Amino acid sequence: MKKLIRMLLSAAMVLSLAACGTNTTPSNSGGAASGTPGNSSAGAQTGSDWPTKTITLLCGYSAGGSSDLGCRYLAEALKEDLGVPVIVENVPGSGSWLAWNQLLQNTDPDGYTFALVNLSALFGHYDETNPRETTIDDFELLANHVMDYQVLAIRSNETRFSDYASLVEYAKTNPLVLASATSSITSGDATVAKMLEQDHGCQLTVIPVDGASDATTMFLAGETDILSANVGDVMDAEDNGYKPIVIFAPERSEYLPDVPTSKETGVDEYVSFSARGYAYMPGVDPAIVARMQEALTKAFENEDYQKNMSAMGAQLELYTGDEYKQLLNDQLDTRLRLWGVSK
Amino acid sequence: MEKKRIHQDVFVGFFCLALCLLIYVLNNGLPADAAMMPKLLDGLLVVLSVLIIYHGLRKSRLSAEGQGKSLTWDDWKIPVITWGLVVVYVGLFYLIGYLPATGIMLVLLMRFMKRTSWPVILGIDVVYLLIMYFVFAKMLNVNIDNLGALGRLL
Amino acid sequence: MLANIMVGFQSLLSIDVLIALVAGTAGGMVIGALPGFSAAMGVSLLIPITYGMSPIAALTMLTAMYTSAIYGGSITAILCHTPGTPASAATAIDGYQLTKQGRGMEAMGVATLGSAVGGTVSAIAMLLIAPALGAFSLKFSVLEYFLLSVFGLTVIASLAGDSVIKGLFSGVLGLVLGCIGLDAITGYPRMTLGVIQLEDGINFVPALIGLFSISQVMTLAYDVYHGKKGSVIEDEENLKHSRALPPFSELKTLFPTMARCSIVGTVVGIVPAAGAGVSSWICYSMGKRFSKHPEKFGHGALEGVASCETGNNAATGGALIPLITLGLPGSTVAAILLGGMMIHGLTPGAAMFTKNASTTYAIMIGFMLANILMGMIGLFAARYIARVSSVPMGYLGPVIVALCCIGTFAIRNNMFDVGVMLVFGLLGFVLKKFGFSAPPMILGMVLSEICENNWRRAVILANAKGGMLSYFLGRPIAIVLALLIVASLFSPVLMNFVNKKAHAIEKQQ
Repeated sequence: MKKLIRMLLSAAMVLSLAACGTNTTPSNSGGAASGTPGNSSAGAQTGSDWPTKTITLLCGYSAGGSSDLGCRYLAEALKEDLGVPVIVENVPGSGSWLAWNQLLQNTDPDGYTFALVNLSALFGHYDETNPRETTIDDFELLANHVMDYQVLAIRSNETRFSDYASLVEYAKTNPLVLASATSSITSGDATVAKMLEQDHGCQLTVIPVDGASDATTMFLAGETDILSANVGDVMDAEDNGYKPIVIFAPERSEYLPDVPTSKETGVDEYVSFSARGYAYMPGVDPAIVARMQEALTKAFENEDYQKNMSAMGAQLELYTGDEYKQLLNDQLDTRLRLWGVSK
Repeated sequence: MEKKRIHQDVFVGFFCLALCLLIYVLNNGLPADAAMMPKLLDGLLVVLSVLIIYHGLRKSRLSAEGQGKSLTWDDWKIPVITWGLVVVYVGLFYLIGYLPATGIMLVLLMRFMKRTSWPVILGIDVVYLLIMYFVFAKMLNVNIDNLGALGRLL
Repeated sequence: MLANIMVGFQSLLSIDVLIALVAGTAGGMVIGALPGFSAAMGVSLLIPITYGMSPIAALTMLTAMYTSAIYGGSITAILCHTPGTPASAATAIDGYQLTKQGRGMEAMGVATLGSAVGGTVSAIAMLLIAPALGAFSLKFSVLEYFLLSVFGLTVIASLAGDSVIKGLFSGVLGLVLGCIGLDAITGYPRMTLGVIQLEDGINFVPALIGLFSISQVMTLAYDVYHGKKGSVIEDEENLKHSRALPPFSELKTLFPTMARCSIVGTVVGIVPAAGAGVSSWICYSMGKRFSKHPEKFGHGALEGVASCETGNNAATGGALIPLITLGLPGSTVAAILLGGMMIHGLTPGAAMFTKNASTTYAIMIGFMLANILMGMIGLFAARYIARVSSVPMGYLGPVIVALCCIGTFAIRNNMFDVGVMLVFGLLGFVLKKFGFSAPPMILGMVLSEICENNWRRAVILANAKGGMLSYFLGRPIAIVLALLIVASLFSPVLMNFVNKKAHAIEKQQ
């Protein structure tokens, strides 16, 4: 008898997890509803009856980050159009390469798994310190949804320079310090610094840090002089005592209407961004690819999706097919030139 | 009659030295900046390994009793078998999935660890599996059954 | 501010928030207590669930989960030597010794009290002076992170167990293991053998679970076959007569430790590079240095349990401060929480104290209540939970193995991590058998990256700013930390000297 009680107690620790779980169930209305496979008709899948079961979206970043949130909003929107559940699976690690390797090497090209891709997939091959075998041509690109342009920011109380032109002028004779997550071609932040060195002869020291938030920390603490970041990172700039002075985009951002583009400043016409889109592995039935592209286009126009994404500060720009490829290749050429890497 | 033997720490120390060599080789091709810290630490490890050998040799001079008990296969057998069972269990994830593998492992390991009451063993097994299935697979969406064919059936 | 606090209280008093608070606290305790389940895993699994909740309920639940999972980790660390989070690895050292002596319940009582006190103090600090503390966090930068990690490393020698040399060896080996992965400064892969999974380094949560939990099951299997009763404590009678807290006379002596560690833990938590794990080790080493009986550490000192448990929970509140005031996450879990805030439209920064003040204060008060609630549940339940230590290992061991596997997998949905856990399980057992202690290795792995990378960053930065010496001398906090390091390295020598002097004087009289 006594023994039995002890057993129950040891099980109780496990049980109470379930108990606490029950409490939270009612509020589980998040995007990731569990897989109820639809009318799973076995046999060969052709484009016409696709999809019939749960679709998995591989996200190479951990839950809670902006990439993950974007995926979850998209999953909601896709579900409406495709009529099957879309679940987000987080496979974080090695800057999303774990997820991409899983997609390209260990997943059936049946159209039921696709992944979030960003510019790291594009530049990884050209990274001198740790080159990847995969190039962007190894993906079946579906559609780009998010564009996040690079900006440069200075502290509000900065006295040495006040805008992009004076910053460039100042840095030609006075070395400046900035922080960036990794100091190689894969990083948009570091590439801006490289551009300033290559094209304007500025003197810059780049300190490699772990992530965008670390770069912001050092900048706010006055350790670094300028901040190279994306629009999404500087949404709360004013509250925290700094201001973006230039955006490297063809047009001004709706989120930062007062910040001039590089072209407007007359210094250069540099454009740099990070982009988030979605891709299949090669070998997926063309009919399914076409259907998926259509679904991604519809999801892009979904009102809730647009609203949620802009609340996050994500600039939405849709590119599909050859347009998408062109966009990426243009950015690739610019960066390869700046870093002096041959294609 | 004093029987002297080489204290096990001497062998441990030489194994540590071999490990240091491995670390050195692994870091050899790297640029100086990246390799500095591992090589610095490796140097420290070499010093410590030599100290371990030195102390082992000093202990070797003591009599058998003075050295304390040396490790025998008997000290290793059961723990290593236990570990082997766990490795087989993890290997089974790929074959049959987490839940079936766990069902089998719990029973086997409990029997191995000399538990005799079948009702209790099976009770824990079933309760555990049910909880894991509902909490992880259903509620938290952890992909525990995407490995293996049988796992998908659950 | 008082008005804001009142409004915050009011918004807490809705049924969904209260349910979230209780569920988060209880769930966190369970997640933390289960061997192999870490705070990071709990919070990251909870995030998608909270997407559909109100902001206050969601954030209250997440922060409650954070602090109580850190506390929960101490329960199994004390009772079974299977810490679930790196933050409670230090607790296992003394806690498990106490359990073996039949004082597991007292150890749990002290851990509970310490956690609740530490967490509440940090919550109060956050409630009253968060913006000021947020600004203070910016005074720490790469050089300070480096010095802080060096200070943490000074404790290695005292964790060494029987052989100082072997302890140092496993500590330095831990530092080397921490170097595995892409070098953060140059980007070159180090010691990865071409394995892409190793590029982010060895995740130290699976390593910890292997070193402690799996090797513990192996040890206990041995015990089962060699005539021992096969549960953690041999004599059940001991358990029946033990109490939830030590006698007040003994408890009293712990209060200064708790007070000190609450403050130190909060400060360490505020530092953007350090989290609860780092804090618990630093507090443990401070506890030992300030203790009147440092020789008891490692052999079942209540002070040891009190110091690291107070320290790690104090760090949870500390880590929330730069997160809320500046959007700077101080730990892995805080980074996940940042995502949780963003999705509910709460952009960290000054607006949290103006536009969103009522929400912010509600969350902070919720966090404080979670700590108090956690303490109450803990003290109440200690008597029952402590029985775990008398459950035969034959039943507990296999369940621990199964939990470790799923817990490790769920951190990143990654089978590789499970493999890491297995390898470190065997390694942990081998190390133990040959007299190398495991805690220094974990400490080395936790601090390696912080230590090396920030040193190299500091060098680059100092070179750009006119040399290390002048850079160092311009940073008061760095100087204080350096002095602390020197003091802690030489304090044993110094104390020895002082004691001898005192003896001499006594003799003379």
